Amino acid sequence: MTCDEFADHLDDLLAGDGVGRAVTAMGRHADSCSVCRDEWQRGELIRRALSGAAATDEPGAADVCGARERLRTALDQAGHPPIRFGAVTTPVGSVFIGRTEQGVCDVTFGQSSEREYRTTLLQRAPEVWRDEVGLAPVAEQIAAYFAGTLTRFTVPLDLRRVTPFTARVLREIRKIGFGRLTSYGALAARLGSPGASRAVGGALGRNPVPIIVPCHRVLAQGGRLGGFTGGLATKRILLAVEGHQFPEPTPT
Amino acid sequence: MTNTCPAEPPGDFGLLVDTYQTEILRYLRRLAGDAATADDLFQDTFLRAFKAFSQLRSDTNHRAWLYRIATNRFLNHRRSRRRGIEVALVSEVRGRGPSPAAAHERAEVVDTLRQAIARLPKRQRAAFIQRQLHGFSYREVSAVLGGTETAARANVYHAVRRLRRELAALRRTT
Repeated sequence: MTCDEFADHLDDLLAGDGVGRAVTAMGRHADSCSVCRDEWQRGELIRRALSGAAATDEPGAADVCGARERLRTALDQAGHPPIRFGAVTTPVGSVFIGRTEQGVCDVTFGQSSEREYRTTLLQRAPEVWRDEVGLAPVAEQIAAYFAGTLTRFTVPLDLRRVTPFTARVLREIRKIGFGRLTSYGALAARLGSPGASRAVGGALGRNPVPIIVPCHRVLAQGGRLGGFTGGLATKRILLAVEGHQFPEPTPT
Repeated sequence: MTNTCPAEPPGDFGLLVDTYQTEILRYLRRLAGDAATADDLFQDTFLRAFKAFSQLRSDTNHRAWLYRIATNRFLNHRRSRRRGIEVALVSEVRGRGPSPAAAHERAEVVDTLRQAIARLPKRQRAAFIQRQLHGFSYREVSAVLGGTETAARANVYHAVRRLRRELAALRRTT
């Protein structure tokens, strides 16, 4: 074996590639060549120092927890807080409720299963888990609303995800009391943009927390039912809870 | 905060972080050479990962995907003000040698090696660390680093030769 061949094999060893039987020839060569012997010993030193360096960089449990906690904060600040959820059975079917540390961020009906709801939440939240206990106060208020014993929700909301315009519309809707009704046009006028009833309707459609923010109390011109993201059947039931009957249209 | 829910498709990002956080932080510390930079890169890696996570194909190899993001974060990172911390870290090295003198010598070699690794061009450094400390095959190195297997191998060998040159002054002392 020549010194060049020896050096190539040493590179193989340090790159993590095996050299097979050549290791015997390397040994013989090193016995007869002091320069290559030094090289080999230095190579060994590098290999041992590598594991030492690796040990130095090994993160401890506290390092990992710290990094994880900072990640949680960074995700939260980027608009992706963890979400806990629960469900309550109502006359409009299962109502799923999601909440962040700050407050209720989502009310959904018409979802077929918990799994489906969870999947939807996972699109925007890094951590999602069911928390019946944590959601109990919200679930109780929703149940009480359908029982007719609660006319005003007092749960905190997290509306950070909606646009400023939608937020303004939702704030205005929260002022409409139980059993009271208004129209898209009247709402637009109250917001100072009388011509914007279509935009207001759009904002209502993006209400992430229906029932709690009562967008069902907003009707179309002339007292017609208008639209509802959760379906008109649901809107009828919600309005019936508040004493307004809107019969199903009879097919002609 | 505990998550008692079992994982369900399309996958829980929190669970993904649970699974790979230690490994990725370890990798980034080895790449960056200092804990503070590694921590910044860790945040950056998982924030980016989260944004792409829901669009990920179901057959994606999550581990390789995370290594790829982490490596790109490292390659794009501008080295800055934090050099001082490296020295502080190195002084924490504890040798496990039989005597304090041997331990000290060992720590010096480790120190020299770490500095030599830190001076490697970034792609070489990443390829060498993946290969030597994370046991990647050349195919895996190329998947993470981009480029061909031949290029991955070339990066590892360039790193090895350069380290050997840089450490040529070391004498075996025992």
